[in-house]
Amino acid sequence: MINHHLSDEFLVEYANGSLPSPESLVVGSHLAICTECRARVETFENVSAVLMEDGDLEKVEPDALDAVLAMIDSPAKEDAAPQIEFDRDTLEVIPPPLRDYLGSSLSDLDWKRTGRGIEEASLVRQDDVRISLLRIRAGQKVPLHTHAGEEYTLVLSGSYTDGGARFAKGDVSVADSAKNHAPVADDDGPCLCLTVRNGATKLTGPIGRFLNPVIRG
Amino acid sequence: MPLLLESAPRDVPALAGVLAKTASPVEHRGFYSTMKHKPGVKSGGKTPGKNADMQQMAACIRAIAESKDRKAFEELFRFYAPRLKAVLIKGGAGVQEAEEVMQEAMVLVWRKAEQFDPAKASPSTWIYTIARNRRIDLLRREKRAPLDPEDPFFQNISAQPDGEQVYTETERAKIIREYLKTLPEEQLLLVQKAFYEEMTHQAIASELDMPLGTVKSRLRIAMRRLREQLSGAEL
Repeated sequence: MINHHLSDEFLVEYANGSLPSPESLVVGSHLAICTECRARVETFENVSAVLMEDGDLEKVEPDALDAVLAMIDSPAKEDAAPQIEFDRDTLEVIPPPLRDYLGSSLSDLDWKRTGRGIEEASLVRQDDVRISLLRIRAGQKVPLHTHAGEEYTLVLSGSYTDGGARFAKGDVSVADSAKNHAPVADDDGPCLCLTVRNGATKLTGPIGRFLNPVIRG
Repeated sequence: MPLLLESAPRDVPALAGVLAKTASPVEHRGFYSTMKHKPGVKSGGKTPGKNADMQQMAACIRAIAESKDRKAFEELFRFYAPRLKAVLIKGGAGVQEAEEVMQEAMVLVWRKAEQFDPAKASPSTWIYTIARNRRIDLLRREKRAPLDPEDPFFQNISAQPDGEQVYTETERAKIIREYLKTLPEEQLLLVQKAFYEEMTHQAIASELDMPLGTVKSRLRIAMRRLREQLSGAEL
């Protein structure tokens, strides 16, 4: 049972393809777990499809059909990226959209201790975006912290409690620098999370996206 | 490692601001009133009927899957290629880029025809998502693929939405079409910007000179009402 979903604004931008990659990763991974949000995205895709059906026509190149038929006749290009053989644990825990960001199975990642009972495997560090996996020991308190930009956390396994709210597999939290948070991993086992931290670049407005946990209307 | 960060380049269509002002709520209150070009305007020649027969489109996809039927493919192409290209351009792609993505998407329609399941998606939704994913792949180097129910990840999670959909895909499309007709002009404009022109909420807010929160809440309300209709709830 997922209690902390993504609000429509993320799902709409995910569905129309305008959401930037780091956020898309969070949304796509949440959707893999959350059938409810997936149904919402499907509805949004239905709306786009209806609008496309009834929408404008743009003249295609005169030889477009021939070009496409020729491509159909030539063999499909093989996917150049080598497939990584993930172990069973990784396949069961890491949602398909997130696997592209892992160079190896979970146990072989470069885990670094970043605090008492906390390990982090960095997946992407680019400009001011940080994408990591966090592994928090059962019962471990994560020190009170804030971030310069936004922070998205998706629970992949285990659970934690933050400010009285419990976050378990599939739950998402969206936080910004205005919010202090102090998650504590629940006692029943380690908690594995995907975190995406976005620096100060996304100034999307004074309020709205920063309400957290996002409550649906 | 996928490249990150850049969102799809998009030039905000300058025209739309003008359009918003010229749309007369009395005279043009209808589906296309706020669109830049009404359907068919650009095509020059005869245009396929606007509400294409989706049963027929589904039959075409099946014919491709079952017997590599090129005539069926041509029929699909004639209907969808100009529409996909228009959506891609609206979404910020250049004309050349849009042509390329459209062509590659149509190749994928051919190759993936066997995966099409009319119980799960209408032909239009299926083809729209193929083109959108292709565009994301090309412009953003971010891979998007449909979820594979056979994937070990889904052994304890449903790969399908909960429960049965109340309506068939054809009925859903009809409900959506009818619903859009009932929307007040300004809400319809927002829906078009978000779901047809594929703009971010922020870009819509800037273009329409509207507070971001208003854009979000109006779209949220419009979509909530739509969901209610699709769930079979009496309104």
